[in-house]
Amino acid sequence: MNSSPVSTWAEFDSRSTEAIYTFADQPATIHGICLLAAVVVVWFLVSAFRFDGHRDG
Amino acid sequence: MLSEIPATNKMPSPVVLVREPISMVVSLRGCPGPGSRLTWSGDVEGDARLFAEKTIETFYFWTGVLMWLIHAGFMIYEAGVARQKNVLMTMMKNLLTCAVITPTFFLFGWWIYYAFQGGVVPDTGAAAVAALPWSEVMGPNLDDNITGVFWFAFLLFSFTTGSIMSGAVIERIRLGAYLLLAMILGSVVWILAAAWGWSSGAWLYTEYGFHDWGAGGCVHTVAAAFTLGVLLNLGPRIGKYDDQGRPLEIPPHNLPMTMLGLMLIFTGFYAFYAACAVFQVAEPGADPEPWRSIYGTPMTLGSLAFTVTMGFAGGAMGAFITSKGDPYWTISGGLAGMISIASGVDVYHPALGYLIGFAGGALAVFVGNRLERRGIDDAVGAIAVHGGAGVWSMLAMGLFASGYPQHEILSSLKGQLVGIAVMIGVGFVPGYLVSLVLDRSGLLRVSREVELAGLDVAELGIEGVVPAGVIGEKT
Repeated sequence: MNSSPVSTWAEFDSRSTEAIYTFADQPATIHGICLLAAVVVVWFLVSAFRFDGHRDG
Repeated sequence: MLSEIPATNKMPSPVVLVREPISMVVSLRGCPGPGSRLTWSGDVEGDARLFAEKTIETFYFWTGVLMWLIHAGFMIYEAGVARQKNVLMTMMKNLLTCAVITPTFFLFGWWIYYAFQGGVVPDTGAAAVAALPWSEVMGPNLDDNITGVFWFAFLLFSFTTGSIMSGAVIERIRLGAYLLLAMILGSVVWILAAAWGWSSGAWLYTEYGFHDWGAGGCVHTVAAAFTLGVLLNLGPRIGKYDDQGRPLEIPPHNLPMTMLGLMLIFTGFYAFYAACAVFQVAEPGADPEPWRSIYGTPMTLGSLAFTVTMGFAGGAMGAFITSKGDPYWTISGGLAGMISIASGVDVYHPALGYLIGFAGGALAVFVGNRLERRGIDDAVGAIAVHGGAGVWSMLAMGLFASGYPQHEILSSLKGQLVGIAVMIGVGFVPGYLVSLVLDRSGLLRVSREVELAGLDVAELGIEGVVPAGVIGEKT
């Protein structure tokens, strides 16, 4: 999956693009990743209650 | 340029900078005294360059020092996992891992890194010659401050590979066999893999665009694959499987000790990753140099702060869920998460790093259980944590961070897959073959009697953990 916000070595090396992280030029994708991360945190918290009292959950 | 003024007393004291013509004195708070003095000459550009070089030297020196925490952590982590009768021998192995790898890495490990970056034919260029143990820069040299510091940082990486194997083989491997294997892994195998995939001239990088920023391949995957090869010949501990071949639980003798060990490993891993970032001084008149990966791509130290920590959090959470709250796997999952993001720390968005870490933690539990059911008795889950997460790290880089320009080549899934195959092969083959020879020679494993009695008393003649109130005769 091509996620680079820079396309050439000259552009990358000159640091003309500041945000170099994956999908930096695709804000909707970043929003989706953050949303997914939030869902996982909720999943974890629910699991913490499930495994708190018994290990068979 | 900076010039040194002789110290006026014998007390150790900080460097004091006197800048001329401004005559501004900068001293470190709480450390008074004249001590050694460096004077700015007025050549601001030259002074700034020299100061930056000293900063780099200091930075890498302290990353090496802080990486010792990894080995303190491995020591008590593995001692906690071992049964009481094997605690001291387990710790002895960790201690001697560092001891045996140090001189061998000096004698030939460092040279291997510079000599084999192009493949299997050793290079005879200046860099390789300078890495020979009798080279002028392989010792105190007033014209080269950095070689020793870099050697030291790489040495601590070497310790890590040995320590990854040490926990998996506890409670039944012979000390001499283990140390021979640790030397081969720490001073030959991993550094050869680093030359091939984790250097500016690495052929995996120049020909395939392989990108493994934090050494998830050459350190974690190689060490885990080597360990798997050893375990196939070493076999499980007595009592690990029942008559039907079903795995039985051999619980850690001190789980809190194990968890503290992993916390130390986490701390040391920040230094490990910091040592993976390269900083150079810009040429006069050029733009300031950024931090760079070992491949020369620009990055920031902030990426470590974001992504390594997010990876840890994701890994612990992922392992917690898939292990149903098991404490041992949960904290091991934190390490798996930190390893899972290794290959792409420099470019991952932090939330993506969290998700990759989460998957890595979950994966480690799955891999660990699968290996156990297949008769592989890895006492600490090293193959699952370092191998599972190490392979996942390289794969995730290809899946989620392809297309990054790296000089003339782009990062790609294909390059990562080639790298995974090479790293597994480079680690597994020598681990399997050398341990096979040791096994056939009767040198790999302790006797059944020694294993049942415990290695501490049988081989060291002393109990590592003595019950309170026991008084023995002085011999």
